[in-house]
Amino acid sequence: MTATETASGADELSPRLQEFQSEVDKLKVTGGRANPERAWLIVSVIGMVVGVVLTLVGWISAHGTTSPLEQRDYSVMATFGLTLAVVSTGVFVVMSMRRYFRYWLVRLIFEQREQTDRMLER
Amino acid sequence: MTAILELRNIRGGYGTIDVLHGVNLTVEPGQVHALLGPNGAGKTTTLGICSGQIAPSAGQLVVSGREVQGASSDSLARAGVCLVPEGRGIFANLTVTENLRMFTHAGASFSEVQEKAFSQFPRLQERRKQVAGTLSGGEQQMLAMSRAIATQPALLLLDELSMGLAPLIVEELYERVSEMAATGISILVVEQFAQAVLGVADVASIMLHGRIARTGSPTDVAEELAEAYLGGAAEPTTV
Repeated sequence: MTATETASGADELSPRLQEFQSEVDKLKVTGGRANPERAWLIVSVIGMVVGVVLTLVGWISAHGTTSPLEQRDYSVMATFGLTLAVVSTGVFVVMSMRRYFRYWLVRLIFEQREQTDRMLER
Repeated sequence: MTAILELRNIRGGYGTIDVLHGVNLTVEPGQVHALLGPNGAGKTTTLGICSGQIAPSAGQLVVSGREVQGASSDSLARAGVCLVPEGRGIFANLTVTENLRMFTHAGASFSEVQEKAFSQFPRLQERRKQVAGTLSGGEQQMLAMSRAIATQPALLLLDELSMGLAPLIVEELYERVSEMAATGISILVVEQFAQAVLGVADVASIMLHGRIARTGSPTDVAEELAEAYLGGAAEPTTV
């Protein structure tokens, strides 16, 4: 599109539309996503896997060494892994429930609407 | 001229359930676009996406030439997108006057809002001290419409204006819609009962199973409407 065409296009806009256009240009668009729990579910599954792996590696490695210093390091690692796995499981359960309850709520709303429609038809 | 509202291959719904499966729709400035379809077609969800209340899972929502998916519903309302939802969306426990006071959010003074509302709907003036929840369905819809009239939106989204109302009231409300359209406001109106809106619309679309099945002039669409409704209902639905 040429500059002349753009200018003539802008001329056609009413003052209200021009105001609307400038308001829309000022809008903060954050790129909001549908299904916001999805990212948390993925992160929590990764957290659970990493947590279990760290715990197992720490436990097996602590058994494989006689050095108390190394055993303490491996114990810390295993404890961290266990904590990560527990916290990730908690996040996974909460996010799954949020998804489920949203679905449940939507079903309730739709059922209520249908019931209202049926009552109005009668 | 840039379209005031454009949906490009929009998918979306509630949580993991997609209700819209690739909706393409355009509303030009000053146009009245009627979106028709049977119950459960996705019309209200479409309005939810247009007003920023539901985030689309895919596709582009373009308002006045700018992609705005992710903009909050309140910022879109402040910019000039007004939704009159199904079920009216008024404050049922406040009086008519108190409701009108709530409509001053767009910057208009209270007296200005009152004047516009009462001049368009004189019946509201008689009921100004009455609690909105005790008004008749038609009066509640008039109150909801007053918000659209008072805030002077650039884009008005109307959801099932005729639901549960007597034909005479529906006719009166659509007269107001027609007057608003004449002032240059772009209107996307969702209706299940086509006859109410086709006289006012410039363009009409039929929505079936979350997709736009047909777009055309109101007369063309009216001819195909019964067939589309029955054909659409006969199609197998996937859950």
